[in-house]
Amino acid sequence: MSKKITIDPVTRVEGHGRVTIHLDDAGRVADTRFHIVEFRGFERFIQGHPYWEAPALVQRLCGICPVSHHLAAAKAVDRLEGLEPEDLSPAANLQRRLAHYGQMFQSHALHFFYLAAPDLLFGIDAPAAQRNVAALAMADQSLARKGILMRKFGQEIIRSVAGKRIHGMVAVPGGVFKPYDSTDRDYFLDGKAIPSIDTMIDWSLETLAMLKDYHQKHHAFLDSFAAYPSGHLGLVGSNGEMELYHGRIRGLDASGNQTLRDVPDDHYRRYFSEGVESWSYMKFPYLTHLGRENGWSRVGPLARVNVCDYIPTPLAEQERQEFKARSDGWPNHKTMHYHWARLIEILHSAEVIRDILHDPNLLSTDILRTGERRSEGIGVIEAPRGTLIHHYEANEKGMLTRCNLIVSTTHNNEPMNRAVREVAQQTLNLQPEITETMLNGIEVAIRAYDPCLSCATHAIGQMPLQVEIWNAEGQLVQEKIRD
Amino acid sequence: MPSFSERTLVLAIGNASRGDDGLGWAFADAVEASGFPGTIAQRYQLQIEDAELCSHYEQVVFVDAWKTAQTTLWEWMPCTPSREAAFTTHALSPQAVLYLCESVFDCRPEAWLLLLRGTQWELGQPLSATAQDALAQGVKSFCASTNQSLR
Repeated sequence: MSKKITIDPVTRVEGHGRVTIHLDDAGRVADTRFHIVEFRGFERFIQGHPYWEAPALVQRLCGICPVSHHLAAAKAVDRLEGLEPEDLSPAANLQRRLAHYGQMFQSHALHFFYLAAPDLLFGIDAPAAQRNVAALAMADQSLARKGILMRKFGQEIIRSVAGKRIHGMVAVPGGVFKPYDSTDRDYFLDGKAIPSIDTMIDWSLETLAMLKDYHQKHHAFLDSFAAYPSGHLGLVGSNGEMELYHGRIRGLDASGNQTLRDVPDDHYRRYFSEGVESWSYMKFPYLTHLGRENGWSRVGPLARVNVCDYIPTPLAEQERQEFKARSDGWPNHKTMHYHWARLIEILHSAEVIRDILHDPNLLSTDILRTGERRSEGIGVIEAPRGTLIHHYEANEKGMLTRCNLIVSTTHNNEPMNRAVREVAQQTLNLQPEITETMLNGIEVAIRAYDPCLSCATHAIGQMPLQVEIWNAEGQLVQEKIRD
Repeated sequence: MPSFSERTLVLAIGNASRGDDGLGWAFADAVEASGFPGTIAQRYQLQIEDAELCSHYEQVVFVDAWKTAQTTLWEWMPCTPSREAAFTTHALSPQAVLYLCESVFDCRPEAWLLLLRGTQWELGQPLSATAQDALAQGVKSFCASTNQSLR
């Protein structure tokens, strides 16, 4: 008799998701689905608001990466104001970048130390009660302390620009809210009140060294678990460098051939379509010219390290070269290497933050520009979880008439479904009994993408995961729910 | 009742947009206006980094709205470290924050919970009459412990 397995909720991710696994009569995995069952409707209720309110409103999509939504909306609103990113003053661009890289730093630190490290340190077969940050603190106090202080550093960077760590105000149309304070700059440089930015760089390197050491001991697991070929997508700068704030969109296929050749970000509609399924509120974006079956791509740290030609900060570039050498120049398709790429980006972010803090233009009071109003604005940014697209239209009175958001995790919808399928086929096929460890493996695969399901459906909520096993007759035979 | 000082941290938890869930923040505002010499921080929810913040203080007071069937308007209770396992690490209990403070930063401040009774929690609602009474009495009790008078 065939079966269907359900995991609900998926733990240590943002939002609420459910996994169902269908087994055939022989006990083989016939189908898997990663369901997102939240809905909030930001794209609709923002309509009718003045366009300049968008950056403040849409950051409420998320409590983890509000700065990304805020800045993507701000870039779109700049264009509604008739301004391109290069039209903004140097000080405004530096402040926005500082907040953005602070956001990247804190979000990646949160994911690695709080959510992913327990899986690596204790193994996926450890009891759930052990795979959390409290157990991490007991097992490695120094690592836990660094993790907490790194997250705090990133949050403090955001606070220094936005006024608050969560849901503050960085940007206004055409610039930023206020000049940057030299006291704040010194706070991050002198290391008196909190560990300095130089310490953050040192700790980022130490964490990378720890992961590489872990890889040496567990390469069979990290290199093969949930690995499968895919396309990759991300922004790059004008010279092909990694660029997280503003750039052109580059796509690669599984062999490394370019599927999007550094196209302008505001041309995204020419290249992207979104599919829907009846069993999920999260859409399935794909490259239109490749079609739904072949046009989906991974986004986020692994994709960004794959698509860029180099990283424009020296220490992170050295790490990228070492990372690339592991895949002999081919795109890296190893899902668990998301963690490795994420740590390279932590290091890159810390280097960028250091450079911005030392830039004298940061303190300039020239922070606002004006332009000539347009009816449409598009903002694209690399959020911690991947490429984030905000698109607005406004009428002659300045009221928003249309909004479209393609959120990072949405791009990873198909990849996460593929990862679930890979793991299910690797671990559940023909097994007489479904164990906790097998189901943990599915969560670990999803968690590598650091999905934010609340963002992806623009919905409110936590991320519990539910797993169900269904038989061929449509009967639920096993269910696992965490709350 | 403890005596609070400049070495005391008040961590006020709540959401002013949700009726009486704003009690914690209203308490923080009132205590700040009273001239409280310690540190006040407002949170939507407690997070792991708050363990590091707590490690800098000798005393910590967690203040939150209280949904209870009891008629008591407010209640003080000691708060001790406790390890807990949950599916998320983005919202911690005061006990879990203290546990991390002790296990990661080797600090164990004295800690209390101050619970203020609320009755309505919908978006956009003001503080209920019950919540306002709880707030007034809670602030009075706290200020008596800090030798501060309400301004």
